[in-house]
Amino acid sequence: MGIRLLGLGARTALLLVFAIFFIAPVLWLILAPTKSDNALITSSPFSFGSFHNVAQAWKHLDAYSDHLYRRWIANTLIYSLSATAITLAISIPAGYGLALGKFWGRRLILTVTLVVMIMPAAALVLPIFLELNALHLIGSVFSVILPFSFFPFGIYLAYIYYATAIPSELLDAARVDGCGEWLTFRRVALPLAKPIVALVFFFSFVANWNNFFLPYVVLADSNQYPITVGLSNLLASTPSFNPAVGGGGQSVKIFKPELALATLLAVIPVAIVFLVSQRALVRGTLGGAVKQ
Amino acid sequence: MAKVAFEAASKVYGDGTRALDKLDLVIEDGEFMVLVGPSGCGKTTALRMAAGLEDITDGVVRIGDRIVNGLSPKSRDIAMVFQSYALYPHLTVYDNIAFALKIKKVPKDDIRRRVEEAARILDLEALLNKKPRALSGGQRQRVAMGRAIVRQPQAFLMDEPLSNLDAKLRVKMRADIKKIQTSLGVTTLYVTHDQVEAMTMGHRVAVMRKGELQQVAAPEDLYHRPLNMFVGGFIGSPAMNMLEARAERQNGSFEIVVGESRIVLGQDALAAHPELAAQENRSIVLGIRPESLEDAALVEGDHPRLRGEVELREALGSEMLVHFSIAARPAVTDEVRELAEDVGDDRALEQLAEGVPARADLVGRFSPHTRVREGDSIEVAVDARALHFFDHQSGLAI
Repeated sequence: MGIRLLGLGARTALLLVFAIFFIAPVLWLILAPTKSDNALITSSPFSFGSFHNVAQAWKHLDAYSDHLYRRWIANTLIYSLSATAITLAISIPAGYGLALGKFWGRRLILTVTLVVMIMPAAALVLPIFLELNALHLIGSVFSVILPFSFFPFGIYLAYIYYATAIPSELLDAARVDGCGEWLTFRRVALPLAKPIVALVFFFSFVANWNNFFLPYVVLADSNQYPITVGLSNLLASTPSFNPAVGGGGQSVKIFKPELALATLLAVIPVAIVFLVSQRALVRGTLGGAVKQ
Repeated sequence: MAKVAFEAASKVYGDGTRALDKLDLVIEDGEFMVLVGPSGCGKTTALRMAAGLEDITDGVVRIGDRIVNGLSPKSRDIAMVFQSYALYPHLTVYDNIAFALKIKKVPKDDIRRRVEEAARILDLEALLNKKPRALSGGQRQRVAMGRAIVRQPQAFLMDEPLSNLDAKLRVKMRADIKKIQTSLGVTTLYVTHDQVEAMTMGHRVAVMRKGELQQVAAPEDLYHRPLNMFVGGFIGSPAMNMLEARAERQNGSFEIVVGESRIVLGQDALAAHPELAAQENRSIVLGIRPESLEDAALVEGDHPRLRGEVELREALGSEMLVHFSIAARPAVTDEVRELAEDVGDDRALEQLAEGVPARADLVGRFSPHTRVREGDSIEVAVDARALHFFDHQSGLAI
């Protein structure tokens, strides 16, 4: 009995240590904007400041370079949603075709898709940069949207779903019922793929939202930056993080609480997308298991 | 409604498998034709070729007066019922049934009227707003039927539509489908591996084997006058008993020698099989339907008899199935092997692998009043007028 209690205690303690280790930084970040720059260092790390400080931090952040932060968020939304929309329009039909079509070169295309999928995105940045340069697209919004409209992981997800979860008799039924190939996809295959549409939407949106390296390389004007590049720019130009800039942050009024707020706000759109697509995501994981 | 015709239609797959070999079959306007055979006999391939879901390698398929070889399924104006029902899971029962009409852009009022009519025929009115996943197997099957009949197509194509139902429901749906087909008069091609469905539903039945058509006939003809051993063995349950036999003429009478027994054929039996006379002193295959066998103790009059030992009895209430063995050699041919494989009869397959056994196992459909018990020696009366004879080499009926 004693040994069992001891074991339970040891397990709980171990789990607690790990939980605290991972939760502490998140908690600190969430609490950071509620304090003044000074209090952040002097007061207890997990104390709550005031909502007034949050409002103050937002005022400073929003004032930075004439509402530049808002512009970054808007840019990121435009880039991410555009690339995700093109991704969906391409990867769902592509996965459908690869799973159920019979055409020459199907296996080759599938293999190439898988190879590109496991290739790190950073490895492609230089060749893509050269390509965009040749097409005179450097510095335009297309230089960020187009390269990320190709999302092989989405094609792969759609392929797996169509190859395993959709009985071919269902599509045969649609054909016999008078559908051509397009209507078979539009009226039967696509509505049945709702879970996979949500899944691809989510993954693609998150990948685009967090995309840093390529926009960092191809965009020169800070007005065009997505939030990732913007944040890094903000960090670099803020004296409290980069003393080399000088001035102690007084000139731009960006201190640690403002930076913490900027990072936290940047996560919100992803959280919203997750909540919206979550319902469909859960159904997606069960979709194949339930007998239709 | 239209005639559906296969003219030397063949299907060869990419790997060289010949799934269908020069099928010639005409399903008349309004006819209920059943395609039956063991798995892999090409019956589903033929159906899918008519539907346009499978390319036609060679030959012609006609629906009405049109050659449909090059037509896509949507242009063939046929409705199909699938084994899995293939209901659209994201649509309600109403929308499932209305689907094809919506695609065809039929006016809304018309659609409503026709869907409600179909729902009334199939007793689906209370389910119209439900999704397929909320339905039982039998209800799903009826929705699949509804989807077909609402179309008023040239022909119905049904691919084992009852095989996923339990036995009781299957009997009911069998009758329902037959009734609907009769009242609508739509040409129907129905594929099944179940010979009971074939016998009870079809105006005519086409028996297939290894991509080749064996016989097309009305169910009674198929049962009483099978053209070959395969059809004889496939149609009927329990299956026809097949024995090695010899035709001999003795003291002026024509006799069939089976092991130690002799069956004297009367004039009427000989008249029914005129070519039998030419088989004198030759080895043939004798086929006896279980109902042509009866416990001799219960039969009046002078019948040829077989002597055997009872191995098993199955009391079905209305009748008694008695398995017994006699001193004779069972007929072992490719057809017999294939039939044993089809029903998954492992014991029979093992025996066949060991060579032709010395004793033959027979099944008799006896009167329930029989008193025979396992282990008994019995005399079994044979109805000599209802025997079947087949050529040993070709398997063709004599």
